[in-house]
Amino acid sequence: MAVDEGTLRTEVRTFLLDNLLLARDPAELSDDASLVDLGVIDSTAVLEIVVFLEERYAFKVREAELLPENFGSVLAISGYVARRLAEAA
Amino acid sequence: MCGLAGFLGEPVPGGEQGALLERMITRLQHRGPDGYGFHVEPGVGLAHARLSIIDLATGEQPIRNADGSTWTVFNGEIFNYVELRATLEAQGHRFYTQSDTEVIVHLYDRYGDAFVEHLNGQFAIVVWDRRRRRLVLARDRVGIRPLFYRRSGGTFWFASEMKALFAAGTGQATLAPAALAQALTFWGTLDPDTVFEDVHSLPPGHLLTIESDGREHLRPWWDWDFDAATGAGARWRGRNRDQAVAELRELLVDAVRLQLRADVPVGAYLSGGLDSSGLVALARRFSDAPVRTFSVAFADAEFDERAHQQAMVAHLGCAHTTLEVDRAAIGAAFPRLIWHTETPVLRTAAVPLMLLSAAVRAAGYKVVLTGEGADEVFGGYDLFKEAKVRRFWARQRDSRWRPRLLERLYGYLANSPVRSPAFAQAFFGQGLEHLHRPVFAHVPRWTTSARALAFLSPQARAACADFDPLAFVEARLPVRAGTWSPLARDQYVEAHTLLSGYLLWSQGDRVAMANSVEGRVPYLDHRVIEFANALPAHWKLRGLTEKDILRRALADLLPPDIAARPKQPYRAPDAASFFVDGEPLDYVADLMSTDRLRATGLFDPVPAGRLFDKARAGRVAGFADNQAFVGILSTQLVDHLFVRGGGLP
Repeated sequence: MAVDEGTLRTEVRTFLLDNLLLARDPAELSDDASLVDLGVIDSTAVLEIVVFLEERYAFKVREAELLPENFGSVLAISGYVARRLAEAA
Repeated sequence: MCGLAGFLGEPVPGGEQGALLERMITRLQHRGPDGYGFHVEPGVGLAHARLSIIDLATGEQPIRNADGSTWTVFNGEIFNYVELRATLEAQGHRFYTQSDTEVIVHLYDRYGDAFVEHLNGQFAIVVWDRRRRRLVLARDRVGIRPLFYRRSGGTFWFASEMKALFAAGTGQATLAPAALAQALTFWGTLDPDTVFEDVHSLPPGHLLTIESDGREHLRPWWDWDFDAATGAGARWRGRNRDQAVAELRELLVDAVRLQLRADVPVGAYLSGGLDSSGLVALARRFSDAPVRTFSVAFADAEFDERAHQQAMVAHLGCAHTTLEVDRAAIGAAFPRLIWHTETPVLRTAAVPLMLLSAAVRAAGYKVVLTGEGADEVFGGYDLFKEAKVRRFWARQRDSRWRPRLLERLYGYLANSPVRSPAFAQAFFGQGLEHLHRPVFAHVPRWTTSARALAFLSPQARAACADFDPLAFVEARLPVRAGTWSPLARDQYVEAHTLLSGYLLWSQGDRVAMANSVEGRVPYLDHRVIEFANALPAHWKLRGLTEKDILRRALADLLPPDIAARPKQPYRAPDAASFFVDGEPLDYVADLMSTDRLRATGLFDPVPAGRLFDKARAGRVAGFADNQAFVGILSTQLVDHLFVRGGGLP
């Protein structure tokens, strides 16, 4: 699956706003804003993100990759997805 | 166990005051279906709805002293009334009933406002002193029984539930956004606040007096106090833990003995955990007959504890009833729950307990023992353990292994917050900067709950813009709390927030009384609390083993796996209970609609609508979303039932 990074960021951001930041001002979610600092990250939120990524981009997230550096912001998530998609290509 | 209501003042012409009182007390019929009683005289009215438990023949209230100069209406039980009566009779007092209520007027005559300190029980009491023309309101030490009051139109009103105040026409029921912010953060408002403007809840362990000149005086008469556990004079310093275990066992036996006093049979709730199992085992010692026990079981395996319940039933030979509850039953009964709680809730767990009390009543029982309070008294909650690990971690924040102790918690949760260790550290690492604040332990819980506040409308949010939950609670802590152990401070905060504001209210008194059933809580016998509060913290929370001393005190009564079983908090399906095959229940669709949200004005329909869609799609999984959904829906119900006077949907 080929998706450019700009599209990836947009899709991830839209998912987060529609599912985890339901009541927050979209302006608060800059690409590098910490999801922990925004108060939306707990294990359930991580699981929701994982399910979204696996269904949307058709790969399995590995346990060892469940790290803040991969899931801590829009930028981190889209970068992680891009790397995984590149691996599969 | 009963309901009470009344007024001080001249709200209506004398001839109509009886009808006014009747209107108030009939609204509380569920609390006392066995008969009404009234006392009206110029300037004061007392009304009572009775659930007959002690002195079935002559215990009608209001009750007076010998010359009729002191009157009382009372909701609850005075468990040591036998001993008090004997002492009073030896002092020359003469009684005309066999009820526990009558000791109140005689104690008041002898000791004045200090009468309350002699009582071992759960109570809301109103005393009318005719001679001095003063009214005294008293509430039990920890808030087991409710008592609300309001001043309007020059009249002071009081009642066991707020719906009786509204029935008297004391003024409009108006939701206060700032108090709503408390309810959505702490799971309940903190006394004396309620979610309604100008309606107050008498705080636990407090007396309120209204003098003949109208002056009101609110003062504490008891509080949780851990002074005896700390300092050079600590009660157990240098003493043997085994001795404490033995003393605790004796105390628990006596607490159960007193709380089995009734002229009707007493049953017990059995959750399958240590606390309720221990009570049933203790109760069994006082009767040759099997203890009559009742349990909730869930169709959802995630919440179900019936295997443990059945193990205990087999071990003790109980006569047992299991009530299986599913999502549909919870969704259907939720509006009735809110009619009884009169305040928003963040979880549905009170509903199955309301359904269980109906089963108790149907089985012919009016009284049950429950294990409530043991977690607060003996340090049972995961929150206490979590705080212990977080404090340990905060002392060396770059440690990689210290936060991994968190992984030993929450194993019972399907979506455990420690399932992703790296994120668990990120989550629980929030608020470490509050290490030295007395509310440190509660920051993660309140942070999660308060995510519901983001759904408030701009106007409501503006009205509670100054609400700082940490500072709000800290302002209510006693100065001496600074000398207590961290666990003691955590216990104090827990007792004054979740215990009194939610567990004893929405999940306790209100759901039992909804079906005219009285719950009794031996672990909240004040002697047990005072004993436990004097113990060293590590005898309660030993390492990461909760309620260690209680386990030891009960060990020989229980199967080893029950005695050693880690705590599993009681929970029920939340947002999922309000949808069937992706369709909302009718009342849910109505109350969560844009029009209704806009009419209430408390929530922003756009994000609330997104949450509704997420719940309908079955994608609400974590605490924060579930609590926000249940919080919004229950607030909408409070508005519908009490502000707009709508009927049960």
